[in-house]
Amino acid sequence: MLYMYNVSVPPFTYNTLVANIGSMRNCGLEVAVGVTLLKTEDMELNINANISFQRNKLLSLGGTYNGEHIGASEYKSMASLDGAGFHGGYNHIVYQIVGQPLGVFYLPHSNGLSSDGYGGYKYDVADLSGNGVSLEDGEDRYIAGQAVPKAVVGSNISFRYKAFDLSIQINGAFGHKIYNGTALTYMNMHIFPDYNVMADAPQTNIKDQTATDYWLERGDYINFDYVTAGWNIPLRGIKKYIQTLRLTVTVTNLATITGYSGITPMISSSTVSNTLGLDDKRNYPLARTYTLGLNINF
Amino acid sequence: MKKDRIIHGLLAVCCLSLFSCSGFLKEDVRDGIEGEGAYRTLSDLYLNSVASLYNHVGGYADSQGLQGTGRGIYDLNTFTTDEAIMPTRGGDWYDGGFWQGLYLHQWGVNNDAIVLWFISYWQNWH
Repeated sequence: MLYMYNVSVPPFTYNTLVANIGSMRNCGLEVAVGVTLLKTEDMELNINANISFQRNKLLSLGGTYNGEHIGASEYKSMASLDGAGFHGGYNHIVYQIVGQPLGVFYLPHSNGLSSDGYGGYKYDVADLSGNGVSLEDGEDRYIAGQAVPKAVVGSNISFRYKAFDLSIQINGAFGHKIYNGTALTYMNMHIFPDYNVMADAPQTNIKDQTATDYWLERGDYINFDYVTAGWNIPLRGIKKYIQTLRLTVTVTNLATITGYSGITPMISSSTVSNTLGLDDKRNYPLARTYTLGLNINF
Repeated sequence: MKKDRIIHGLLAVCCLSLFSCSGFLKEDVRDGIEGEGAYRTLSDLYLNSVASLYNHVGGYADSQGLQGTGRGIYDLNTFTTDEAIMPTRGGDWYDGGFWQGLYLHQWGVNNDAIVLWFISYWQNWH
């Protein structure tokens, strides 16, 4: 696997080197099923479904190149929080760590909220290493889950009864987590102006914005991508002028079933980027659209 | 006799080819200053040593430059002392505890600003 390493000069002529040394394992299983459950003159029901399981592991990153040992840092940040008050510091959320899947949440653990002594609350960061709390990489942080879904499902169901038909597309993803940076930011009452916060924020009264696993949530969801209902209007007297007449109603992004508390669980969860696994104030919510269609064939 | 003639012939060819090579290895620099020429006069000395440092005063991103862009050498030298303190305004400027970490001397080996400044230093002016 190719990777760009930082190398020393000399012996190398330039300080970075793309070398084919590391290795990564990808394995998975994809199953697709299509069944016609019912087929009569008046009625027809088709179900198509697929599910794919994917597993990824970064096996090694480094080795010997032309007699020189080269390697990457043990903890490499991939995605971090951003925005006012979140620039730099301990705001790294998603990491690339050898021996783990690409894109894991490597975070301090929060035991919940504790009083800050001034009437507010702060995140109670656990002392995992037992030698005092430190948010440094390799100290009080642990691997809290992965950003990429372990399973992705998709299904299309179509049903017809006489001249009426209905078609539904359902998508889903399971086994991954989402870091709710939006809630971390806007549940913080120690923000200016303090009226630009979430509805629950004044009551919860958190006055802290330390990135811990407190706002790491399960990202599992099922989304009803679209539903289309159609009616092929029977033509009796006007068949001479019009061949077919079809009326449709489509709703896209009908509903999402999820335990995730943010606006949408459909964020950047599959590609390696600086927003992988992060819901960080930057996601524009998906719109639900209603479409009414009339199709006339002369 | 025939063998000698071949050897002499080869030697002659070798000598000729060596002589013909000597010319084009000579450098005729038109777009730069040769090593010795760089510091010949007082103004050359100034331009090529002191003045060129001004190219590296600033930078294009965080943690670069001799004087330092944001989170560069100036910030690292100043906010780690009692000379200055970076207060937070509400949650703004908290920045993951970065400024507090500098003031309290709690930065670690993976501190972005220190790593980036170090890389910038070694790449540009070392």
